[in-house]
Amino acid sequence: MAASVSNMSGTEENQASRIMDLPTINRQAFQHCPYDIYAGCVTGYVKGCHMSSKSHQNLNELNNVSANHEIKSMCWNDFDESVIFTGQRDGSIFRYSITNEDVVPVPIEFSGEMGIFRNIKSHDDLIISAFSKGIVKCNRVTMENSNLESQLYVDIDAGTDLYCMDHNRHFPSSILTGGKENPLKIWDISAPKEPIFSAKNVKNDWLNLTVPVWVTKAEFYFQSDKVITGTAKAHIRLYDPSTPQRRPVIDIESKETSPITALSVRPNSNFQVVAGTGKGSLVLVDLRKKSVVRNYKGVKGGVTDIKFHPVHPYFVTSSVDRHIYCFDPDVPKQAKCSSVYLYSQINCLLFSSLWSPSDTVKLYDKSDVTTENILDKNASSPHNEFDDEEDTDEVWKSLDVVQTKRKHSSSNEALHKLKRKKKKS
Amino acid sequence: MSDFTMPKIKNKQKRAEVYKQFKKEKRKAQIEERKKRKQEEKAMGDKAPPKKVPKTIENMRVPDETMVDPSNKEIQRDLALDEMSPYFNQETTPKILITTSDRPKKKTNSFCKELRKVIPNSFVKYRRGLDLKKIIPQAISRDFTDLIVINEDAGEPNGMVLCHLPNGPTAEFKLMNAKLVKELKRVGEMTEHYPEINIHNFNTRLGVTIGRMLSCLFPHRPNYRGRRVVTFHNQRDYIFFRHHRYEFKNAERVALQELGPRFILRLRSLQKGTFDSKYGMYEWIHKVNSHNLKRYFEEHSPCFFMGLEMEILLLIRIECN
Repeated sequence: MAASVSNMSGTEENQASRIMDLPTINRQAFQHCPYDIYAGCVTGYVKGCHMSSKSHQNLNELNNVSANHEIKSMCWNDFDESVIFTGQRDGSIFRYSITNEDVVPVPIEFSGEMGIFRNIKSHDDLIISAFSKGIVKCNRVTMENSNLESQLYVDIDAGTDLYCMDHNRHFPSSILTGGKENPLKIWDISAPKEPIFSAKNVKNDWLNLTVPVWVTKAEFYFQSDKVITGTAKAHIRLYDPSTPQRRPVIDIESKETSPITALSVRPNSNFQVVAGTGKGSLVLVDLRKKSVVRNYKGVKGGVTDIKFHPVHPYFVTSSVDRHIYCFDPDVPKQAKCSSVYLYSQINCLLFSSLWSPSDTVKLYDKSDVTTENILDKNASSPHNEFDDEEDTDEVWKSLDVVQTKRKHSSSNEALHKLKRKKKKS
Repeated sequence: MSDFTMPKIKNKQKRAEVYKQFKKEKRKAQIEERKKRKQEEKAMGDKAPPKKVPKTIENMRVPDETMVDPSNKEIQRDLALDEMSPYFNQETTPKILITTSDRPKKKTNSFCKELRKVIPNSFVKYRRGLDLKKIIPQAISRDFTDLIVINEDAGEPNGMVLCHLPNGPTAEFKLMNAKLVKELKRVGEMTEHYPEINIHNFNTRLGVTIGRMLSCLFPHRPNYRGRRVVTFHNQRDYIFFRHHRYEFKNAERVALQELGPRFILRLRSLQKGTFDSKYGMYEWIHKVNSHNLKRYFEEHSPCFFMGLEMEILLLIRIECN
């Protein structure tokens, strides 16, 4: 009993110190909202960046110096991108509202026994947080008089040494977990005791040795229940839970020598994935070709996060070298478009859908891409959900012109060929 | 004759003669021009146009955005949170473990012994074929704060791994031109006083981390009576190590005596955490062709080359003043 009492007082003290540690809002920074990119740093700052002016601001202010403030993970609350949830190293979660300019702590129970914070995802009023010792918590959070109330919904024990967790937006009840000697598992939140899918290790290698299981990064495939994973041995694998096969459907062995630390599926793409490693290499992998298609240059340190823009064909990466880089995946020269120096190491990123490439095109001195090209690309990208109907009409008009030209030329050629044949005959 | 027609002369002897003549004339013209300029300067006095600054690799350097401004609050916070901050807060005392690659040759062994003399509170241990990943936990349990591994190739030390304990970071250097005390001329004898440390020109964000790691090897309070000074001088990303004793001849003059050894370091990679080259996260890694600029430097700021000795003297004088 005595021990439990002392524990209790300990946690109370912890909570008291946490209240002292609360970040405050930097009002000046919110004047420049919305930002193109939001970044979570090792120093504990949440930063907003404008790619066009290469400037950045801290959204929060911190009072005391502590490693516990390190922001491990960030996520949007919903598609309207007005609320950001951040997860700190010690397990505390904060809700940053961009429209209301405030920061509120989310009251979720956690203790040091759960290890380091790994990942946070949110969907509607549900917050899912994962810890390194394998605990995944789903909480329902409700707003009451500008205070947040949380209620534990589901608690999942996903096994030790957890490295990654992801939530499927297309099927909101399923989440995935994976880690070191902890194979990929897919869970249903409504039935948290047993995973609905757990991966089987790949076959032994050519020396008949077991391949170590170490999932460092995993993500749900775009609008499906398929899962793409990256491992410490730099394999990229695609799992399909809808088939009876528990081994990966596609297994790609890249030539990288360091673990895959960041992974992102290209939206609206034909099976393209961008992966970053701990040694700072960044590759575009094609799942149909089953090989690396492209290398991107310019990153000096290990890649920590990759985020694609939902509409435009661009992606940003964050790195331990304290820079954010923006790339165009289709540029043949494969150099970075632009970079921003952020003063501290960056753990996680959010890419705002409001960003448009016309800002960064000015920085495009080296590449041959012209504004017209980029506009064309944007116009031709399918599933353009964010555009209005009028816009799409314009786009189709512009497309028509291009196509008729091509058709015209091709039909002309065909006519010429026919004429030649007639002459010969 | 202009230099344009010169290559067209097909007789080699003739061509050489013409070339010689051309060089002579060019030199003459240069000297005359210089004379003229000097006369003009004399005549004009204060109104003379300013002297032209010669172009050097340093002053043509591509500007680096990560240049550290010590007054920046965010950088102060970053530095206060890094792994070396306990040393700078005087919470830890340095204790260094020096070891080599497996089966070291004679030169590497004696190089390690000299390093032990240079760095106070350091211990040389035989590697005994142990893995670094097994050594590190043992070193942490014995309160070592740093681990230095000297690698060699063909009996010549050619690499250095510097690992800060217990939580990293780990820096990997290429080691060049290691000169032992025996190979140097007119060296003095080392004493056991704690040396002063001179970390010079580590100005970008990466350079600051490396500079902090290197200064972590030496005790906090130097013994000024010993007049020993250890210098890490960074120039164009090459880190020069020198070890001297200084002496004030009078109010103006300072004399330097080298105590040895000498070596040059060049950074290969900086990794977060203790040594883990397989699964580690690299903060910076040297990449071939990462930029084709000769004038791009990762670690240091521009400075004019004036000879290391001169510079060390100057620094000492500045410190003493």
